Amino acid sequence: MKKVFLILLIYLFFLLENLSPNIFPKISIALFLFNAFSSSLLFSTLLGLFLGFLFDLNNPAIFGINMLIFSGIGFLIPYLRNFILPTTYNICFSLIFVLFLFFIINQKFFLISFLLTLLFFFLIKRYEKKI
Amino acid sequence: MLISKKRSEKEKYISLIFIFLSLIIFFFPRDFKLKISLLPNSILLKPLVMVRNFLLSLKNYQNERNYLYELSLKQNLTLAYLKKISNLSSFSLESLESAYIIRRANIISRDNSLRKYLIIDKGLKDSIIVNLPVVSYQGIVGKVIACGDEISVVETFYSPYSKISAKVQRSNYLTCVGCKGDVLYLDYLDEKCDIMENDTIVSTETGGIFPEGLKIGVVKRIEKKGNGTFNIIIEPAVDLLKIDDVYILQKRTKKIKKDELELLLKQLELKLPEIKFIK
Repeated sequence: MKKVFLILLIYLFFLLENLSPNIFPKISIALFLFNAFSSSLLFSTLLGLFLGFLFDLNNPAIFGINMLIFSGIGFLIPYLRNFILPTTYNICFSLIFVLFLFFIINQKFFLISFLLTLLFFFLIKRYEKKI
Repeated sequence: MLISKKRSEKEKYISLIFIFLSLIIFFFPRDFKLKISLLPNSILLKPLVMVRNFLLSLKNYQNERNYLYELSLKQNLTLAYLKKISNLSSFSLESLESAYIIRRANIISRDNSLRKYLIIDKGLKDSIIVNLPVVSYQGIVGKVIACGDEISVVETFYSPYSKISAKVQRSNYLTCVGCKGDVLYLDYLDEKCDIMENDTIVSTETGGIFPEGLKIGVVKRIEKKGNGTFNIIIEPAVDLLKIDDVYILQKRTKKIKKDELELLLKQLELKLPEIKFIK
């Protein structure tokens, strides 16, 4: 149930992000990364595949590349769990890395969206326990 | 422990299969990728498209509303302007009834030219006095210059001594209508005067005799003189040879007594020397 809710939440945020891509923070990516650091390898990979698939729908010309990248990240983070601990630093670094990768692949860079995503990340981190 | 390890190994392989699947999709031909993305695109992005369309329609409605608002504003302005023009040009005696007592008089005689001076069958007995405006349904005729008990003399705009304070209806440019050799012309014009052919010339209250907005005529011809001045010929609105009755307008409001006014001006003249120019 929790997993279905997470998928729906990611889908919802993906829709919201697409309404105003240059302003709205990439919450779906942040949620995916948070989940990758804590959930199982298979689910994380599938979630990455789904998120990548959604991003690819916006860019049918390069269909598959987002799927590959996000499923790869969804696989690698839980796979290297012994090396990459879910510390704030690691999550933040991976978030910045994924965001840059996403912006490069999709050939768009939205500074406001990027900064808001980081702000959202720190807010989530701060109230993580409460959430 | 062994089972969980086996399970995690299985999960790993399944995950790798998915990654490999996405890699294969990535290397599919572009046309094929476009084709397979069509259906999920239409299903998964449908809410997005709907919201976008809704927002766009809202924006369009807003633009349309703004456009219609501007349009209605412009139309209202045009309507007001047209109303103003129509009120001024299609002058009706009924509209003057609130401010004037209208007396109808028959033309009983004319001067030799038939149109410079008219004799009417109303006089002092009918409360007709000098300087009352005389009009017809088409526009201004002239003013009363002399009164007998039962008859009065009307000086028409064709009289060489007649000067009617007027303005161009379109531009509100103040001028004066005079007559020289049976031709009406505009006087007191400068280089900045904004007058075109077919402009309507109407009366103003500046002269103190005629009411505002009565039609005098239309600009027939503009002749430019060498020294930068103009000669503007007016075609009168009223054909004096075709009328046999006129209307005399008498103001309902109490008129300022001339003596009283002169006394007042004299008193002021002591303090303000410029007042004599107003006089």
